[in-house]
Amino acid sequence: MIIQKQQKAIYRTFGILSLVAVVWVTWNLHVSGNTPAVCLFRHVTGIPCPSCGMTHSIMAIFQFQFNEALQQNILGFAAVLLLIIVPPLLLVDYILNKTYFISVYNWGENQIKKRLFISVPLTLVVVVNWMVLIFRS
Amino acid sequence: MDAQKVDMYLMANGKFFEGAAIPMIRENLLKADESKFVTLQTLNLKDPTTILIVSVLAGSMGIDRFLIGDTGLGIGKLLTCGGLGIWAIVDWFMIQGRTKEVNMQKLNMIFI
Repeated sequence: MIIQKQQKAIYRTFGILSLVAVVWVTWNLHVSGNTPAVCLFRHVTGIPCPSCGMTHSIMAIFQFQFNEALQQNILGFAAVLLLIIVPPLLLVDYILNKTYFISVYNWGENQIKKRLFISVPLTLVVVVNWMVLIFRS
Repeated sequence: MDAQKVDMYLMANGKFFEGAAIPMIRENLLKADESKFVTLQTLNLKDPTTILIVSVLAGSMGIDRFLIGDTGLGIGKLLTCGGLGIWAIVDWFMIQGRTKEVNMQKLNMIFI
């Protein structure tokens, strides 16, 4: 029962996140100009969070400016990958009443938890990227 | 399992679980084999209060979710800057309950 509740929470969370992300990216792609800074962490502490600059990075990737994307935030590549995989999977699950997304989610989570050669480099990338963002700001 | 042992365990570790689940846990532990006690002692339970403190301080980076083992949700939280701050604030109120759920799942693994 707890597992079913957790599955529903995962679907709900990623559904909302995907919807907001797709609307945000589409809006930014069509309305060129200054993107408002929406990071609560940055507003409160004055230092950027690990995902600051992500919008610019995603925009740069969609315009095939990969160097610019790397300079803005390397995590933009991960975000684009997730944007390509997650929303379509959620849509398929919603329409066909299947649980493909949960299977992929559990598989990915297990890989990250169990395999150190995946989790350690990923953590290092996040930390180094954050250090770069802090020193650059 | 011996009733005295079970009661001692629940007195020391009751804060890790939902209050409403304690009678059920007690019943299950009393029915369980004596050999399960060592496994029970070695369970890596997370303190909901510690997780709440982590959530308040570093919730927008998803550290709280990573700590309780929700790696996927942690990555989601990290990449979205704590769901633009909204998810991070919602988690201040939800994370203790989720931590207790995770602890309950770990405990249930003993009875399988």
